[in-house]
Amino acid sequence: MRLNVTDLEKRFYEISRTLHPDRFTTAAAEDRLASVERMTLLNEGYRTLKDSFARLRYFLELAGVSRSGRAVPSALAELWFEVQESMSEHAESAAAKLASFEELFASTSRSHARDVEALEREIDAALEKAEAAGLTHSSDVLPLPELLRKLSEWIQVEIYLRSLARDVQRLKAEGPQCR
Amino acid sequence: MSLKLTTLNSTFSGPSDQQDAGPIVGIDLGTTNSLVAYVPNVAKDDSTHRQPVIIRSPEGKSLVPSVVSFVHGKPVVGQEAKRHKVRDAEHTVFSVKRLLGRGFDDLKGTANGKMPYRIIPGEGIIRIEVGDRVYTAIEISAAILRELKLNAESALGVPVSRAVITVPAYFNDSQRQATRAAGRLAGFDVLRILNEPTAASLAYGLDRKRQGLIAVFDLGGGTFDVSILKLHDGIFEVLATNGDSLLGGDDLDLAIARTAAVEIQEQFGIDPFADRQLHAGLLETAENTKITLADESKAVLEFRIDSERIYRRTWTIAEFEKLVRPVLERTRQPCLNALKDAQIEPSELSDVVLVGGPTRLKIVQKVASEIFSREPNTSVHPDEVVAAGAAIQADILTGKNKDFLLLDVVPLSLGIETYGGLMSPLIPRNTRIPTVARETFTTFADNQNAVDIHVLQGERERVGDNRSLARFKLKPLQRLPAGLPRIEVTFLIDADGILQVAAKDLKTGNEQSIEVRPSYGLTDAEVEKMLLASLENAESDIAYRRLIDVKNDAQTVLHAAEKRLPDAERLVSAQDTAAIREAIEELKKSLEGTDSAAIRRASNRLNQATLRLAELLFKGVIETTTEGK
Repeated sequence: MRLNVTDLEKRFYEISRTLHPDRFTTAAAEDRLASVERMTLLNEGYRTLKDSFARLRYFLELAGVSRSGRAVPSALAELWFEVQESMSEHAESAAAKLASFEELFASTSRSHARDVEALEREIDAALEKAEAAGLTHSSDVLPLPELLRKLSEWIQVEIYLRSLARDVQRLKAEGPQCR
Repeated sequence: MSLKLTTLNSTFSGPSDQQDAGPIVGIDLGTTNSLVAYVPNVAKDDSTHRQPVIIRSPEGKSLVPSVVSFVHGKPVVGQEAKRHKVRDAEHTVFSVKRLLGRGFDDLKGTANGKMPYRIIPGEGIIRIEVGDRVYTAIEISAAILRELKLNAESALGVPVSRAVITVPAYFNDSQRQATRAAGRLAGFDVLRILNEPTAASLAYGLDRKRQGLIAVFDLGGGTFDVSILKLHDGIFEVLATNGDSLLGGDDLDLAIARTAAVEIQEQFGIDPFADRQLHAGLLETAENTKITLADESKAVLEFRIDSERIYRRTWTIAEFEKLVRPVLERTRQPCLNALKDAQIEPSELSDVVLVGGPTRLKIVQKVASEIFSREPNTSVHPDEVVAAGAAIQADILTGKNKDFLLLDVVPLSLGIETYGGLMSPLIPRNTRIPTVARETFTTFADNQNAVDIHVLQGERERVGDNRSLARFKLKPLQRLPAGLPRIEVTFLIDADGILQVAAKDLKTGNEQSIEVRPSYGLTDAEVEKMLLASLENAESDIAYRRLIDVKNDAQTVLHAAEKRLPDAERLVSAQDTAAIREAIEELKKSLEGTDSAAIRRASNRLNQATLRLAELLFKGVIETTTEGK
């Protein structure tokens, strides 16, 4: 699951050099279209593999693990609710609420990232062990349903944290008048 | 180290590209000035030897002012048009790039909210009234592009029909489409719409020694862009881009002009913005004051209101910087956003490259250095680097430069309107292009026969805060209960950053045709119609151009003769002098008309009449020089 990003980038550049539509401007219409399609696919693949989060989701999809157990950090969710409520109140108390929320958000995000990293290491170790034992087929390599399910849960948390981060940004940008 | 840009004179006839469908030129279609460049064929294939060359106009200028003036309803472009800017403000259109792909309401409160020429209030695409005709910004831009095409053709001696045209990176889909339509209208096959900061990076990175992460800070006449790029072994990868497509040098001029207007009102009780000519004149004077302040520590702004009254004010550099600082601060947030999207810190940058005329100002350099916490690089030619980069991209597209490759992104998120007037993003900003998103649509009511799709671009949540690109209707092939039809729409952003849509009925697998109604643009049919109209006019345009040339030549003859009249009285007979006078009057009279044959005849007669005089003067010159020895 771990990936050398420098190698990935190098490979992406190499393939781009041959596939990119700029190499086909004087070609026949169908070749031009084909190059756009292939480059689109390459861009999508690179985007997925480059971002560790997108890579994990893609990996889980390949492994056929369904997304389940929407584990929302409850303390954080409650505080966020309070922040939104406080927006109609005094500006000062709203700002204070927001500050304490952001503090909790930051610490939650940090510990979450640590957890995911630990889990990834665990999965990598399991995969390496499977590889060392000569198991290469995905169905053999994946005797890790427990770990994958856990990973899937973490990803749900990650999705929640990301959407929360967007909401916070929007709230700060648009101010209380939108409430 | 500065860029090695060779400048080409129009008399130069370059190496023939004829064997391969002619050269592809690179065009920087700017708010204030436009340029055209190309990469000449060289024996060596190495990319570092494939240097771009800026093509000069017949007057020897590399910059063609993006000004179009209508003289008797006929367009005059560039330097000549710029001279009409104040004299004939009503018929002279400038800074039209800021109007491309926009609606009337977009201009409220901006530098272009009020122009000396008339913008017609209304829905959809902006229309400009000149005399008794109405033009779109696309047609005005096409006139500028046509001029560049002619310049390139006369410089290269071959027809030029293919071009790469640059646009601000932060241009949205409507603005890109409008630029491409203008190119088509000018008779170009537009091979690529290229982002300006990306183009600049190509020219900057041409010598291959420059690698790593760079920021391009591009402040033009009317638009601001910032792009973060990774340069690696001939690959130019854009990581993120941001900007403000209504921020540029024009806004600095306007700040000066507004100050002047307030003071003129106080001193003379006149509002200069209420009069077209004063308005245009004040903007031009303000621009000149700004340009002076790029090199001097102070500038005197002098503005003639009428034959008696002159407004005068001295601007120190400190006063000027204080005035424009708030305007320039608007570059900060886009820069920070771009860095954030690229996920890098300013300290990771190996260079910050300044592009665009206004970056000559110390205050702009200061603001850029504050934002990025480093001294910016001012070594590239701020006016020419974008056109040079466009020419390099053109060279890449011909397949002659195989070492370089640009990987660019879409500047703004693309989405569709969903329930409740909200935008649902499909393609996030800074996604590498080309890219595609697919979305399946269905019906909400039984037997519903059409689904309306509203395509948007922007970063805001509410539909109204984003740019409306287009609307189209999806029509299920059969009438079915609600939720049963399945129509898949493909949103493709091509390498030009331009959106293309396609629809497929998933039930039948049939492709569906969709009619897209652009919110701020022209349909293909409208562009086609304009193209036909312009072809019909092309012949009279050529005749008109010829007339202008004949008139210019005749003026030269006339001025020379008038200047020599005192010599005539001294050197030739009274009879000869009278003949010269007569010929002068005749030529003057013919110049008032539009008969180019008559002008040429009169011009020739004057030449004949002054023949004897010219001989004597020539002899005199020889005698004085030999006597002197």
